[in-house]
Amino acid sequence: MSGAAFLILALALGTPSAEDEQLLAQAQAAFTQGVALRQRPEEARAQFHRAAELYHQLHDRGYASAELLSNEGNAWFLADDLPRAILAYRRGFLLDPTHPDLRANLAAAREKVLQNSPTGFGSPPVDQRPPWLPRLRLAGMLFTTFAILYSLSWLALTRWWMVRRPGWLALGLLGMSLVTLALWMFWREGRDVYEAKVHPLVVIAEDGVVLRKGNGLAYPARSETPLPRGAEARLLYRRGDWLQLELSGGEIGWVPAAYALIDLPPSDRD
Amino acid sequence: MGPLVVLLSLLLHAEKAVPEPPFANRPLLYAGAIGSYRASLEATPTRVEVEQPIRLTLRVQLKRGQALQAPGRPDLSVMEDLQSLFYIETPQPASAHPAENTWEFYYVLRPRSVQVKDLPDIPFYYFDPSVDPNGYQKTYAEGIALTVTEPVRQIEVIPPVPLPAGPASLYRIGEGSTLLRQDTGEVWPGTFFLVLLLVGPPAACLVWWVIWQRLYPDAVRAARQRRSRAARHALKALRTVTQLPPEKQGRQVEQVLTTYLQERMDLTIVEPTPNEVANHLQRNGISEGVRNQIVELYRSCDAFTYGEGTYSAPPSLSKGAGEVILALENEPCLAQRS
Repeated sequence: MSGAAFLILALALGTPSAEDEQLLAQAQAAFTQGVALRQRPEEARAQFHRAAELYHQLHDRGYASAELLSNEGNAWFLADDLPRAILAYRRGFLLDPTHPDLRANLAAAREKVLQNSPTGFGSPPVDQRPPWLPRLRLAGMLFTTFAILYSLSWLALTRWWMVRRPGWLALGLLGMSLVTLALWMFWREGRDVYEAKVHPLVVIAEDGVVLRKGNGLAYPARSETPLPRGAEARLLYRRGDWLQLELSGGEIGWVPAAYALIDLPPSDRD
Repeated sequence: MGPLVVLLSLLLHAEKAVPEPPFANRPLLYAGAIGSYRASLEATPTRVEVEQPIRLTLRVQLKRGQALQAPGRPDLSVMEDLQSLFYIETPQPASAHPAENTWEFYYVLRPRSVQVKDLPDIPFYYFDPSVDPNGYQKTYAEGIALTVTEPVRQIEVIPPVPLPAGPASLYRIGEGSTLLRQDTGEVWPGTFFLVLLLVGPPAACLVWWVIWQRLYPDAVRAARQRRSRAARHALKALRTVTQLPPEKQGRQVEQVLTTYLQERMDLTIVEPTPNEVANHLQRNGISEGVRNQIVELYRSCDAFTYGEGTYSAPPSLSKGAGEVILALENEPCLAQRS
């Protein structure tokens, strides 16, 4: 009881406990050991699996940083657990969409999923973002910067109203343009976070899972091709042991909950 | 015809010369050898696993004289004691005749168990009528020691599945206790703070503007004047007047003033006289002082243009026009319009 209270207190204060730091050290040691055993894949895989479980344990304890989830994803990936790797990467991506390793490794994991889906059914979502539009990390510092820019733009416009010097007008309009662009980008990132809350991510954990038209084995299959392991979808509804999903291609159907990983916050997990 | 008959008779004679081995007591291993022979064995390898093949060679050589009849290949499978120790197979070829008086017979033996310690002596039977015309002679090919081992268990070697291929970043991990953060991924403040952030800066700017108006009334007035587009254009045009030749400056100042009055006070006359300007200003409620100032300026411009009397130099003419415009902008009736 006192241990739990200490953990809660440590989390509230934002300082990791010694036990958590020890877990982290163990996870990193296991990962490093796995890398050292690369020439002996079976032993390396066991080490990566252990590292992944330790990282996941830390995540379950309430720690959530893009780096931690990237580590967890890498460990699952190298332990040949593609669905859990994708889930970890996607969680990290929500925290920091600018993390370069997360993006590259998630792309590699999705490529492997596509290799297992010759028909393309259940293929990963395609990023609709314009390639020229930079990603923004929804960090407090950046938001504060734009808030200050917004205020300065107002000051420049007011000054222009007072003295009618064109320079102030140009400054004010430039600032407001930047703020508008930033707001749009924030809105796009925020929409992903919101979407992830309302319709959590679901990753198919097994091969051969059939997407059905209803919540039961008696219902016909939505597609003759089963979903590939690692296919990503959004959770629309849960009825008993069945999940209603929407795939990135827009297909809606049901799968047994036992064959899927759901991105729920640690407090909501079973 | 004659030689053929001679050859046939010779052959018949020769056949009759080979003695017939007796049927009585003929050994099962006897394979037709007539003459005197010795036998030897050769086995390769001598160290084998159970049921693995040993190539056995039975070599038979004529000891003396001529082979009256070439030996055949003895059938070792009739040897029950040998059968109990080995599986016996026949390879291809099964025999050879490497030299004139030497014959080789080949066998493949597979030891049945690790109990087999050697290959026993193999008897070779032949019929030598010069020794005993009614019986068979026997010689032994000396046995060979063998080492038979347990079979090595066949383990199917499955090549290890390599680690998944991926970018180099797959093997890179972040380190340090800074990983143990609790980021939420959200920085949107609450609705109240967001509204405050959106409305606060413009509200603060409004307050600033009001205070600024109180603290700097002249600056306010100047700004208001600058806000009059007609006045702004007129003042700008007056600044360029000085660049004209002196004889054209009076005319230009008058035109600038007239355009200003047309835009700002709806003066419709294209080339008004000073009196027409005075009347128009009066109708628009311009104070007498300013009105007189403008009329005087018009007269000055006319006088300068048409050379009547002595009047101010051109720079002071355009400066005076600027002051008159500012004075007009300060008139209450115009200030209300802007």
